[in-house]
Amino acid sequence: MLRFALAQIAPRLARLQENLALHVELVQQAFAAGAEVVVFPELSLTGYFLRDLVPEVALRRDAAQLAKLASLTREKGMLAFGFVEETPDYRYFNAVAVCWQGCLQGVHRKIYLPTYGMFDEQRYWAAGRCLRTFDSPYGKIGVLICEDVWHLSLVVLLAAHEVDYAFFVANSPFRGPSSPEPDPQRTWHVLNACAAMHLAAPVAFVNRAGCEEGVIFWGGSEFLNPDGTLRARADLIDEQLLIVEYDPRQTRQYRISTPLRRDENLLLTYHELQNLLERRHSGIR
Amino acid sequence: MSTTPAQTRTKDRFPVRLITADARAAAEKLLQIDCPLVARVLERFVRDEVLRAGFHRVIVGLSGGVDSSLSAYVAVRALGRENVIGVRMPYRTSSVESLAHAQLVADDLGIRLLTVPITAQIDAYFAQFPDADRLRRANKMARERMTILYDLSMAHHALVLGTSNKTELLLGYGTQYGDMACALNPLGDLYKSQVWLLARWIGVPEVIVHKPPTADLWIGQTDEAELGLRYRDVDRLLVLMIDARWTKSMLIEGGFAPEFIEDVAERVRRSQYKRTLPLFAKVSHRTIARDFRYSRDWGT
Repeated sequence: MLRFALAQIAPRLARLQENLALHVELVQQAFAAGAEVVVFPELSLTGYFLRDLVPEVALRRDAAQLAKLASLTREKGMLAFGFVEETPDYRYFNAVAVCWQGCLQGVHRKIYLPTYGMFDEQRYWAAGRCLRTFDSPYGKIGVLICEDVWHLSLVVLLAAHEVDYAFFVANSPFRGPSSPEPDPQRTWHVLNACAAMHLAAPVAFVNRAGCEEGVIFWGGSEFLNPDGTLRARADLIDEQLLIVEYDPRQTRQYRISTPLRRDENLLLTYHELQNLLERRHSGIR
Repeated sequence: MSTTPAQTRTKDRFPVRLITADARAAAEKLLQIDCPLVARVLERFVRDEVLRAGFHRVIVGLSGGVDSSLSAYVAVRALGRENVIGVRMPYRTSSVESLAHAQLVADDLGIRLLTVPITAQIDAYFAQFPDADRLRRANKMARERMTILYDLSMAHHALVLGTSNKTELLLGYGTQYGDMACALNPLGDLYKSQVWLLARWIGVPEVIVHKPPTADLWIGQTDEAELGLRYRDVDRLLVLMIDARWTKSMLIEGGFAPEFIEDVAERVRRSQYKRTLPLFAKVSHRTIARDFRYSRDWGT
């Protein structure tokens, strides 16, 4: 049995030290409750509406703050949290750090940056250019950040990477007041369920809570089984540390009963895409 | 309260045309709100934004109308009744009913209610300008009330809570730096029809929800007569035009009169200045609000 902790927090805007302390506290709380894996939302160390603060709160991969959080996993467990990554050539990424065995093991950089409606991300962020997965002691992990999940191509790639678990972390704002279930919750649940079924793997979706800059983040973090059914769901809007138990043998059962993953023909996908892109490139439609 | 030139307007300035069933259904669907959820959202908004600013109390001008009443009910749910102060600021022509309804809200909520009349200062000021028209007087009164709220805000260490709804804000039906002035406004993204729905659900007394909306800036004033529009109609138009991005031809197909569409679109365009910061002449490489971009919640 594996215990996941979905840390639905409301970080303060650009207050790294306070947010770091909150992370430490919640990781300790989660470990004390028997959790092995703790997942925080997108930009959990900094808050969302950073705008010109992006470079001011950015951390290099060797930053003490990242080492501090990684060190919490020295004896046991695994941790994923959001931060602003600065590269040596001064690009800034909306990133998720993945840690175990006391070390920062890898980083996923947000690939798709929404820049429409209320979102303005391409103004402030560099876009990630690759998809990495993480071979953790608990299995192979895939991480996507918010808008990434809306591009199903990335879910297909995670399946190609044969991940055992997917972490989808988000800062999804509330809008659409007409039903008891917020509009984005309905949409996200469809995305999460669809991804879980395609991956034939559990999905941990962790959204943030609270209000920032007049925008309410609706929370509602959820854990889905490989068949897309809902295993557990956190409250709307408010902070919560949701602990979810999952028996990895359920993945085996699902993959036996629904062997989509076995039958997936990546070579066909690859050739079709190649042909399509070649035709497009040469102007043939 | 409008800052557009005063003119005689009657209800139904526009040819009466029924909008189609499809347009009505689309608009009503968008105007529908789940009251428990919206109340929760607004409560969290008020609580977080007040605390982030380093306060724990709000002050709200109570006109006796549905908007300011709803703001007060939301604030009490967010912060507790001991942290909400209501203020009545009557002028000598203010209706007795407005004062009584503000009292009703304060009594029902159990909040502190202050009364600060504005007659003396308004009359002293206009003694210098006896020919001032009623719109000038109305705007002056709205701004007088603003200065009182901001003064009391400091005295009571309480943020000024706004009460303008989305319909008024889009139409520009409000006084800039007057009733539009506030630190935060829980109602700014709710149309008037949605304010009515939520007010009823949250427990604003029916007599307040039901009465014709008025800024009560002169005797007998009502919003709908002054605007020459009915809130129900204009909300349907606005929600399709603004929220659903219907084009003019779609709106005409939906049965809205072209003159009505144009009038409303023009009001929205003309009042854009009221919804933005003043313009700053760009001189430096980094200009406030243009390329100096920080959130208001910066570091909180």
